[in-house]
Amino acid sequence: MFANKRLGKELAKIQQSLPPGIDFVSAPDFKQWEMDIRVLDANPLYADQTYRLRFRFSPNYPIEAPEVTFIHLSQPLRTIPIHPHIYSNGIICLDLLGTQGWSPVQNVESVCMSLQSMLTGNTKNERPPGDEEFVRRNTQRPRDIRFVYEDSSV
Amino acid sequence: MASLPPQRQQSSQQRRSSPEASSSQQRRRSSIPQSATSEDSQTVLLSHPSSPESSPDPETKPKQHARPKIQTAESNNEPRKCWICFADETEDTPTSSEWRSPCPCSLTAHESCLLDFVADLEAPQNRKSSGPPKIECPQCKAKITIARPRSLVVEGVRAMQRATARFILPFTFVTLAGTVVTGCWMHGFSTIYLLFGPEDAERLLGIDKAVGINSKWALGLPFIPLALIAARTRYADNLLPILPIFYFASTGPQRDGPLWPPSASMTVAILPYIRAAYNEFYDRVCAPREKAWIKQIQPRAGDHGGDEEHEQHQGQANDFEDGMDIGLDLQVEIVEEEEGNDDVPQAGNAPEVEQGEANQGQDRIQDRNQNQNQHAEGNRAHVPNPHQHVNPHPHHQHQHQNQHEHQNQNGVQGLVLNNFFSLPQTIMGALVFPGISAAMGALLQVALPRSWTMPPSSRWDRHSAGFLQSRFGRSIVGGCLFVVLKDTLMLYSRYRLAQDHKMRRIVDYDGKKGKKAGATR
Repeated sequence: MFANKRLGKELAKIQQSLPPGIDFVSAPDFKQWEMDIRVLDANPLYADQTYRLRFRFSPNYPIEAPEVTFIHLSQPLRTIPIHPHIYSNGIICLDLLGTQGWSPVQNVESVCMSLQSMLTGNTKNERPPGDEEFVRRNTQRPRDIRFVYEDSSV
Repeated sequence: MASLPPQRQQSSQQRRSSPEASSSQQRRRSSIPQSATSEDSQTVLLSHPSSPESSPDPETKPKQHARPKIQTAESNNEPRKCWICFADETEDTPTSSEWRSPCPCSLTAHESCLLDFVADLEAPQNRKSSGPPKIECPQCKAKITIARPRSLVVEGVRAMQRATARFILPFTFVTLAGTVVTGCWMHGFSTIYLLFGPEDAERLLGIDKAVGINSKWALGLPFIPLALIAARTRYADNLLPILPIFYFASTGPQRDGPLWPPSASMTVAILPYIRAAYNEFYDRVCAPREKAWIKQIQPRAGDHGGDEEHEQHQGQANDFEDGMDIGLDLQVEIVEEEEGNDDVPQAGNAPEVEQGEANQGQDRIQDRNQNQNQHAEGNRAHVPNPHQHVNPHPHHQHQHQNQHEHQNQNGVQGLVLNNFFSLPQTIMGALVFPGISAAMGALLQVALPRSWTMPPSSRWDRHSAGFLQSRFGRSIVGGCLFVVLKDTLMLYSRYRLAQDHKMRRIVDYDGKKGKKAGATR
């Protein structure tokens, strides 16, 4: 109820206008949305690529952070962007998506913008350390994983 | 609900123009068109007629605080928007809570939303540290103050919980320490009883005089096992001889009675010097020979027999080296390991070594661990000379009674050579030592002639009173005897190993006809 009301608000705004490079894809209900983001400048790592984000909302949104992951699609082609904080299964290590970093001031649009700028500012063509191991082992949902946010530069 | 923006807009404008008068009317009006939910809202409104502005609210203070903000929002002529639920003022229903602006920045929110937000911050699973959570505006980081009813009981319970949580670690520590001290105390107590026998012990401890034990002893008893363990290490070399000085200083003047036989405490006070003298003797006389014997059973020992003397000499020099720099020691270990690689081919050729080179590598790792153990415990340990880095044959670095790490490739030799290796074994040995001494003392009593061990019957026989006539004397002599016997045994077994090493031969495979094969050597 709480979440639905707020998500309804956000949806109304998203459908009206969105910053460049962020596109609304679908919102079948107030549980799971999908958004597309593109990097606007000519970062060679992400040039001409669009990435699909999946938002999952708990009933306590916006008190609780949404679960945001990149997803892989073949039609249309959507890959997982290469980034030292994005695992190849799409899980994102970003403090504002964690319990500590999240606050209700954030919203779907601001999260998309943060991720967009996170990609824009990146120059390293690499996955996080231990990516393979993490992807193979991890069965937790992103919000239950205890990330250590040590790098504030990206 | 979301289908009514124009009407709401109107009502909110009304409200802004004259909030006091129109509030209840506005509420009724806004709820009328909502077919399904209006009944609810209506009843709530009726049963709860106090609109924020008109009612004598118990929370007058925060409201008064909030009122100026309302006016500023009104003056901006822009509906306030809750930063949590994103609903703005125009959508307020009678059930939605009041507006709050808890911080200097422009964020305003519904009170209920803020309270949810705060509750989430306070939820135990979201807390980073054990301290109270920081409740602050996510934008301007200003602290959000919450007025809540204070309950003495709740706060008392909370304070108690905090206090107990804080005391867990110290309590555990104190309990463990208490256990150790009590254990040490008991050990010290039984040590006194074992060494001195019941009568002397009770006299010493003052049990027959006082109800309890002499307080001096109560404090001192736990140090007995500690001193026993310390006496097994090289670190005690510098400390132990100092301790008796305090004894002499404190009891010297009033000490009377014959010098021989020495009193029990006197004997104990002299023990550290005896220990030091014995160690010195061992290091000078026995250790070099021991090294030579151990050297002999190294693989291909005979090939560089010429080095032996040189190494012995250097090893002897090392005996006087008295450093405690374990870091340096470990460095040497590492260098030794690297050098050890040179030995691999040699060792591989040695006839009795059956393992492959990989096994030897493992052995070396074990060796190294054991070395570290030894140096941690410092049992008769000599810190090697740093200049030995350049020595291509580092075997002699850790040659002492208990340190023959290079032989454990071979099970039989290893058993003989590697006793008293580990720290637990040392501690056990130290703690059991009083018992062994007492047992040896009892043996002495049985073994020695009666006239030596029995107190003189008549007074004039006094001058011949012997040291062995008291139980503690026998215990101490027994203990010393044990040490000497043990070291002799170890030395002998090493000597035998060295001798037997030369006599080894390989037994040929026993052929079909059951004929004994000859020696190959």
